[in-house]
Amino acid sequence: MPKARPTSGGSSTTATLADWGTASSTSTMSVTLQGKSNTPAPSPVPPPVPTTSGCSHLTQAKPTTAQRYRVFVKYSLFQQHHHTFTDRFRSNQQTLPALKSVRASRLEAKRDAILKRIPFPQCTQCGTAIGRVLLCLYCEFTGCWKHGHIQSHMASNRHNLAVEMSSYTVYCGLCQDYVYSHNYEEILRQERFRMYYRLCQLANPTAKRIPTIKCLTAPVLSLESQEALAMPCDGIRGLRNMGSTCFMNVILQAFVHNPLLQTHFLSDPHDSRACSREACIACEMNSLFEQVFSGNHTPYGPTTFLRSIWQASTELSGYSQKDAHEFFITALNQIHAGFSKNERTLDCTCVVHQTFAGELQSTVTCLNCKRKTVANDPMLDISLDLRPLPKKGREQGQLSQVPHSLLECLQRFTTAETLGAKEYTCSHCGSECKEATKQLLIKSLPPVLSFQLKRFEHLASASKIESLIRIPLELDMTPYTTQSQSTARPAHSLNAFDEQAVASNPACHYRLFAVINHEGSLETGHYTMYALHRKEWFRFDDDLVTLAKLGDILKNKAYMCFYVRSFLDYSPA
Amino acid sequence: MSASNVGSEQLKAGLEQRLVESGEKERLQDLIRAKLVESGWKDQVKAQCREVIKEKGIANITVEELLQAVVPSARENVPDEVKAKVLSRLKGFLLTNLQDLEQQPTPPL
Repeated sequence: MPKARPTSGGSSTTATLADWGTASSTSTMSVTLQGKSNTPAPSPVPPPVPTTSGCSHLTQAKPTTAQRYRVFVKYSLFQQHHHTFTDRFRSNQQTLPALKSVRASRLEAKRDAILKRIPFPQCTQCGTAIGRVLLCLYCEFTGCWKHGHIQSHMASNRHNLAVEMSSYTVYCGLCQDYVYSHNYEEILRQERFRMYYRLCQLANPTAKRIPTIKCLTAPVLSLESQEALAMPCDGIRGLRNMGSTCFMNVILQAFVHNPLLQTHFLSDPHDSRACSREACIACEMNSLFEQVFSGNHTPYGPTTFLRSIWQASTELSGYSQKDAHEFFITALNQIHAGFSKNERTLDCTCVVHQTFAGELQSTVTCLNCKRKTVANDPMLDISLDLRPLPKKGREQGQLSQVPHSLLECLQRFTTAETLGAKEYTCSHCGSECKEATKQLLIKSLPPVLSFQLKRFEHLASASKIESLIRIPLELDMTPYTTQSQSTARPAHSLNAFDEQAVASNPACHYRLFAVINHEGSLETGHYTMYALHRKEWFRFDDDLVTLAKLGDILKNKAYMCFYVRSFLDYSPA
Repeated sequence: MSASNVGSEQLKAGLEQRLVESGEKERLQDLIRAKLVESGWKDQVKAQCREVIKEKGIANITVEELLQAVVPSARENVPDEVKAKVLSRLKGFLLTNLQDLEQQPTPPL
């Protein structure tokens, strides 16, 4: 584990935004370069901030050491995924013989031969291969931590740097700790990306991807490495409640902290002055981002946004309390309308559909003639049911009656359900009285996945489900995709990673960046939200912004949550 | 060190090597990782680490100290179900590998 980069304001956990904002300047730049600006320093000297340059021993090491580090990272990454390659090659050979050219198979044989020659990492002195094993960055020595072999080697030979096999981090003997340097982090990022790319290719050989080289050579704006300091509260601004508008504020904060929307709207995609549309939400999004990133930290009241939404949707107008999810969907449709005249949403290139749109596949199997009817539906988000399973559903296996985690909800969502006798008529055999099953799976995953947990029931009597649903920080969607279901998976098991599991596709890995909570009852309540900003979690309660503890986020009764793909194909960070 | 002790040390090293070479170690690690994420253990420990770091200050803590503060409770909180699963997998591995290892011990390193 490398030393986490110092983040601003970590000392006080309850400081409000107003306390924070006072020290920073009003410039709109997101970073201020230390010692490079021509303007004199502001009179109140800012408190000393720990530098972000990393370990000096590592930074000053020879370039050859960095090269060795790259080789070691390649080696360790490969060791870690060795079994995935060997297991997967075998299954691919069986399922996709046509795809393999002669040249490819020759290459593979070559690779296999090399594989066999690469030694497994083990301590040079005692042969330990499990636990912390470190490779010296200056010589061939490999040593274990447990018996102190690497430590004594480093001390006696004055070799102060070594790489740990399982975490790819560098240990510095002079600092007596694990250290980082921006140069080495960049090497690790590149090699990780290469490995990610190969694993994706392996998991889904037919998928179209951007060539690796394009992703790796994308310019990396690494101001941190130039001793730049991030401005403390840049991109964080509370939103005023203008009369039961917390439903809007939480969604707007979720938009502001969405990495894809952020990149898009900060690149000035929509010319508001040239726009003639009335109540244009794209213009409103522009000004929202301008306001949040303006450097002004006093709470902002998005009045024009509210007015435009009122004009665009009659259902959302008025001063009563509204549903945040409804606002979310309306806002997405309106942003889409601001960027594109295209009515078709499936292959739309607007920011909304590029960010949120995925595709669901529903398969209906007639139990009489076994014929499958497949239909694809576009989706912008996934709504998950929280109601207790009916009795007949419980027989199907290990699914518990009430879901406790997002994973269980997803499991239910993708489990085949039996349709009643009169719900479906098979067009092939025409039998009406026979049963059929219906299964939903995700055909294509969007870069940003949003979930709604259906806490509000509008059946005979409206009520709110108050059960606690665990929201994981990391999410692997592989088991819920059509791709994993087609590659011979045993009957639906609750434990997606059991013995015969499908190799997880790294393109389906997501991480949490925003959670919306609703406190109160169905009729009246309050929305708050948590969002991730520069690796730090914040709680947004209208105009009040506070640092949040990770533990609190995991304990909350979430209503909506947002995930972004862990690896974006073009993204450097 | 008695002779039997040396033998068991060698046997242990041999078994570890097999575990790694066969890819079983990484497969097990994948399983454990997935299980610990699924049960919320990983997020819990992450939250705990952040607390400790914030308490001490980022400049005044080493990885070793962090480990000392977090490991005991983290180890305790591993769900029993995960422990049982991993143990049974390891037992299976031992049973299949012990016999032929005893017949032909690995050469000394």
